[in-house]
Amino acid sequence: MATEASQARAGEPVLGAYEVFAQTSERGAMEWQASLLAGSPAMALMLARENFLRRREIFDLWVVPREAIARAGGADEWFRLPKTYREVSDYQYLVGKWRQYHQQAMTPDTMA
Amino acid sequence: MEADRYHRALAELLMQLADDDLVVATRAGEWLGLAPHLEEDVAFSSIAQDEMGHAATYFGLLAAVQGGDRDDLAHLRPAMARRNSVMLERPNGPGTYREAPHFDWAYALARHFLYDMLERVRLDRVVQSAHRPLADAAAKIRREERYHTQHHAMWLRDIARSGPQYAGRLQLALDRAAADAADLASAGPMAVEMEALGLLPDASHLADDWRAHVVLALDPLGWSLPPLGGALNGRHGEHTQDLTRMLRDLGEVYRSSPGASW
Amino acid sequence: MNPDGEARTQEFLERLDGGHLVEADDWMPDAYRAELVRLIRLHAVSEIMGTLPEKEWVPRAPTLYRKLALMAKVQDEAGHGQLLIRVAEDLMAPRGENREHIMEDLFAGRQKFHNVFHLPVPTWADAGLIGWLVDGAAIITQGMLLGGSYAPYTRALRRIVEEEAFHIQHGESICMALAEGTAGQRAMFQEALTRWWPALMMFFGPPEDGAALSHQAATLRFRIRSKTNEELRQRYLSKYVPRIRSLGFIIPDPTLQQDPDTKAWTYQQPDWQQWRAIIANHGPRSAARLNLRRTSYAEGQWVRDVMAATRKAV
Repeated sequence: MATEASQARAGEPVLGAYEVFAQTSERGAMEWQASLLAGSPAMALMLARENFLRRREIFDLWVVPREAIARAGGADEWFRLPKTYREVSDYQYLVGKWRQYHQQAMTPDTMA
Repeated sequence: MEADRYHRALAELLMQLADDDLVVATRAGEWLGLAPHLEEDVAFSSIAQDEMGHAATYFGLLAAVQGGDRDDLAHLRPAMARRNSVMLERPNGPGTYREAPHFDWAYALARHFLYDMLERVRLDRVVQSAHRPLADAAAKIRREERYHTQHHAMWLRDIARSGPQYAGRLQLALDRAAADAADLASAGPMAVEMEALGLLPDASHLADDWRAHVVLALDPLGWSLPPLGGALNGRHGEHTQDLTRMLRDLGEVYRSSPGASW
Repeated sequence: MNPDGEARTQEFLERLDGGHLVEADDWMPDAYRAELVRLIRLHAVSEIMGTLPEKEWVPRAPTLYRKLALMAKVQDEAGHGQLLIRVAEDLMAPRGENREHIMEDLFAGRQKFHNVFHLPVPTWADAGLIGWLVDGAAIITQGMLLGGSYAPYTRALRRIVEEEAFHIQHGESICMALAEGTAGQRAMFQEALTRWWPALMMFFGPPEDGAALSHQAATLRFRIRSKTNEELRQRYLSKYVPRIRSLGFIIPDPTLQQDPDTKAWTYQQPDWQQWRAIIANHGPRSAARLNLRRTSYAEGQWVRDVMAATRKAV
């Protein structure tokens, strides 16, 4: 008898891999949690909740068929030289400058 | 004077690297806000920033070798002192970036692709340069260039498979870019010294390597590398009025108040 | 509206009052959707059009560092336009509309954008001033909108506000260098400030004088926004007037003063007729900037066609 499992062994998987994403706060973003096997998106949702989020409050849950995900590759694909000109850390010196100008402004004779 | 020859060859090499990146970054930056697709606008701006950042690194190395300031080197040198390839200084299309630009995305891709292939074969050599600070910087820069290669390859592939009306546009753009590219894969008048001194290993095969990489990428997509042209040689300091105009812009504020802090 | 719809709207409003947030595919009253679309489209298009005045200064920025930072800043603005236009597109989807409709409306004069982006940027000081004082105004509005009831918009805003922190410091840094620079540099900034002050006073829109305009009343009721134009402008004046004055610059409004007890600012009303004319695309650079956008959009159509063809081929 050809069971579903034996069909899968013949190279036609009946279960799909789903990647699970959860949003743990109402204003927060979706975050990847884990992956699972299921027969349908609806089943994946049901299974995901208790498999990965049984200790966490969740606001919403996504399951995405793995074949729908395009992947970029490892860290080397993402290498980026430092771009401190776009980081606030490069402009921290302004804090001290503002303090200094503020104090000067408080002292009337320096404004003359 | 061996030391003098070394320094002149090193300065030539650094100027080629710095000027190429400054000019290509400036042209890429003119696309800001005007790219054909909003998401691409953001992505392409990162490429412009990367190239400008590389230029800043090279100008810093040049300043360390020659003395002086990287901003002086970037902003004050006249066109005849610039060593960038003429292809890179050409405008993005008729019109300027401020009034009615008619920019050509196919040309932007064609030019960036040809330059990107040069950067690959050139950086593969520069990472082995006898000037260690340059070799170290190049190793990091080469890693960052990976995104550029993939970006341009993706666009070329998508255009190639979208139909002849689009593929034809890209071939025309390649023709136009190549018409100014005779100097692109040249290491200039001191190429022999650069190779002999280990500053740019195997400089003599730079152009052949470049051509092989270009053809290897274009051939499967049905495009060819047109004959290279160009009466001017940027590596010798010969440039078009397009560069003169660009330099006027680049240095407008910097020159307005010499020695001021900005 | 039928009685069912009315009851549903009433229930919706009560849920909003209880702090409930709305998601893209939740049911929402048509009026709520319409207010969101109007507001977010205006915000998105202002970011997109807002790239143009500043990008003019990318090549001319004085140093390599300033060139890099300004490029990064304008890139962020385009990125904010992208985040916002996606939020708008999801809201417009039930009407079968997308970003193409927004661009068509922009070109046809049916889609407005903020007054400040209709103005010329003649000097480097103007570019710095935009980063400091225009972005400073924008972050006050955006900070207020962060607590709004439409969750997808607030998520986009959170990213935007984080990046704006860099924008303001980038602008401050340029202006501080001018303030501490040569007499010529200081004069350049003072002239820019004189030029821009009325536009900055216009930024938040006309004062309500106790009678909120219809859109404001609706967005306040829907808990999309929580403050009036005038409240935002007062906050802006409290934050920036002392800073501008501490650098020794003169704000071109002799009537500008703060009541020591109530802390309320009185100021010269800008010409609100002029404001209406500017946002109706009759500003000094409105036509030129729209042309820039129209031309590049039309000439990039083939590229978007390639993207569409690629999608079909996959």
